[in-house]
Amino acid sequence: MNIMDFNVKKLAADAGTFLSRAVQFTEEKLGQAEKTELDAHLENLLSKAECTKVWTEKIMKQTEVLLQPNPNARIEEFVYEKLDRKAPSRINNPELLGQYMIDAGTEFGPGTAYGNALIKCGETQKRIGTADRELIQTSALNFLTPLRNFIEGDYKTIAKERKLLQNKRLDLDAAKTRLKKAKAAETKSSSEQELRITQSEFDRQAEITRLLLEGISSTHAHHLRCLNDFVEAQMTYYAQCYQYMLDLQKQLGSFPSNYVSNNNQTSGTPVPYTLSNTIGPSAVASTGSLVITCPPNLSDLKDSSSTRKARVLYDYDAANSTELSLLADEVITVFSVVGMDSDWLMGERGNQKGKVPITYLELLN
Amino acid sequence: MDFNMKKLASDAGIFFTRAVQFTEEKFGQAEKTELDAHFENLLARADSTKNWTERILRQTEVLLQPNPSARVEEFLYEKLDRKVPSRVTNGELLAQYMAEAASELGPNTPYGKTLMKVSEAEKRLGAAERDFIHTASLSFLTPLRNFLEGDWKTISKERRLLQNRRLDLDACKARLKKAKAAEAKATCEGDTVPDFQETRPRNYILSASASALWNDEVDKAEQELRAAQTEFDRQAEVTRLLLEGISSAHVNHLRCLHEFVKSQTTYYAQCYRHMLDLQKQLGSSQGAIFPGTFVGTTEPASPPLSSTSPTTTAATMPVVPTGAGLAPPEEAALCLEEVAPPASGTRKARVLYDYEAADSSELALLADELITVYSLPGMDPDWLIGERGNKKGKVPVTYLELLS
Repeated sequence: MNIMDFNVKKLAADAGTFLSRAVQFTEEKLGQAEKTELDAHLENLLSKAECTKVWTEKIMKQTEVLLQPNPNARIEEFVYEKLDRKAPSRINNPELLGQYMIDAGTEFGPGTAYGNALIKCGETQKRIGTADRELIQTSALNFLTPLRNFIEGDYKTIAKERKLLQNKRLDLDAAKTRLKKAKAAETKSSSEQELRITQSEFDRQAEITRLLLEGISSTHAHHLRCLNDFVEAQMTYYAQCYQYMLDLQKQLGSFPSNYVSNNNQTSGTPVPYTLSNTIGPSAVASTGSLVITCPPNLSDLKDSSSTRKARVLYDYDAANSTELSLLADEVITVFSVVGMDSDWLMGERGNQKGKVPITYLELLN
Repeated sequence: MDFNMKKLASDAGIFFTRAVQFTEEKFGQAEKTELDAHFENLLARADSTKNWTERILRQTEVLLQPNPSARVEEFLYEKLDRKVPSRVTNGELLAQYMAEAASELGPNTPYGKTLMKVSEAEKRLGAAERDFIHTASLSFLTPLRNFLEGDWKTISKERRLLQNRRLDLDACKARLKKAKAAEAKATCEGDTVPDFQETRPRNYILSASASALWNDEVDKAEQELRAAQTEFDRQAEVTRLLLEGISSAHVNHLRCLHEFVKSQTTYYAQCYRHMLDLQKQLGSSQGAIFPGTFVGTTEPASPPLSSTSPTTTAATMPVVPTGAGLAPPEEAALCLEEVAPPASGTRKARVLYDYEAADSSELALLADELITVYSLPGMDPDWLIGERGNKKGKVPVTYLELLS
């Protein structure tokens, strides 16, 4: 019976408190009650904390997208995290490309120029894949985890204390209102006492909240260090990848000699002889297109640094004087111009020069 | 009408003949002309080239654009023959967020300033990535795609024609064999007929005409066989020439591979340079930032404590430890940072929760303590090596908040 009374009494008290707050809040909205304003400094701290939370969240989310652009993979990782299980180590895109290149090179023949180059490229892609994985892991550990801990830890605490502060303020203002309405001396004395109590609680809560909010400065300092770590991780990643690519280019540097070798092999084909003897007109056209795609001279390859040869796939009539008309199957020189639309290149045929659409071309050397 | 009907019937006949030949081959009732070994090698090589080119093409596309939704979108735009709108890369979007965050958090604060600088670098990285995607698509993916949709289709068509020619050839061979067998049989019958005295005149006439008929049939079959053989040989030659073109396709793809390597090298070189520039900028302002940050953090901490009234102090007792708990670790970390710069590879970490070591290779942890941690090559990525004084052991990463 006593337990029952106790519970009912507490329930009634809580209901009363809740009702008081609701009434106060409503009257504030309707402009019928005064509202205690927080001091400017505290307001600044609150907005700063809110701002920090919002942007920390955006930066964190976008960094996750940057490190793992595939949304399906991100969802998968999220599910594994929630299930408290370790995500299986997945082969990433560069590693898979590397694997395909190595397998292709092996099948084409490691002794051939193309096969050999594919195997080397494949190995480098795999190393880039490993570096990519390390970047993701390091960035997640040094940058994303601290940001997430702030949002799920410190900021939650701040939000909780803010809510308490809001409740204390409503209690305080309700007490003020009640005091104003009091008529009898006895009631007035009771209201004044209640007001002092709520004022003390409010002041204490404001102080606590302010201390927590001032911790945002140290949060910024911490995030600054995490940002530096992220930069360092990215630096390491790009330095490694750059080194890998330099090594690869050195290995592939023997291309000219391979090229000459292939050129000899190509010239050995008895195409002219058999063409005149047995091949029909349609076959000549088909074979002709293949023959035309045979590699141009080595000197052309060496001479062209930014310019290159391109074969025209379809006829094209210039729409204006800035464009160059094209005939199917002809070979022209093309180069790109800074700031030009990415769908166009500059084409040259003898003295004639003009814009040409990329989709009409097949780049050669 | 007659012409169309005749042609239709002729085509149907040819188709039927090929189907019969193909079926008989499957049942082992007919001979099949085998292609020479060199030719078979060329075919296998062409198939191999086509398969791997396709795989490399697909995976490079995935590498350049890992988001499958974006790839589907680009595919649709391509089919609709419209220009794909220039999409902001992930790096550029991150840069934008960092720049806006810096503006709101205060561009003059240490964190804001660093965010601004990192934002600039990320934007450049994003632009470099876009350039890389564009160049790699143009110089590597497009030629591979052109090969698959152009040369390879031609080769496939000629191979199919070759298959048809071979079926025609083998059908003619089968027909010739049957005709010769029939002729031989007719000749034998002719020889035996004269034995019957009473019917000699009529049988002689019949056997003679039958023999002549089959003879004509054999001649016709032989003529058709020669025509089919010529057609087959010509088609084989055409196909062989196309297949040998695979070598030049390999040379072309090799050049494209070099282009891809070049564009990738350029991409990483640019990114590396951007990161070097960024580190220089951050390094130059690092000395200026740290003392300011340290002083700024320390200064506000002391006034509030001294200004607390006696009444509030008692009531605030339970919360003060929490508030105080926030500052000391940061302060300690900062002091340590200044007094003893962290050794390369090791760093400070704050323990978030208590942890009991499961075995002697692990280190027990207490919440809120500071330890030194570092990683070892080959170690499980969920663990680090932790040190507290002389004690050393494995610690779970999830229990730590890395500091310096």
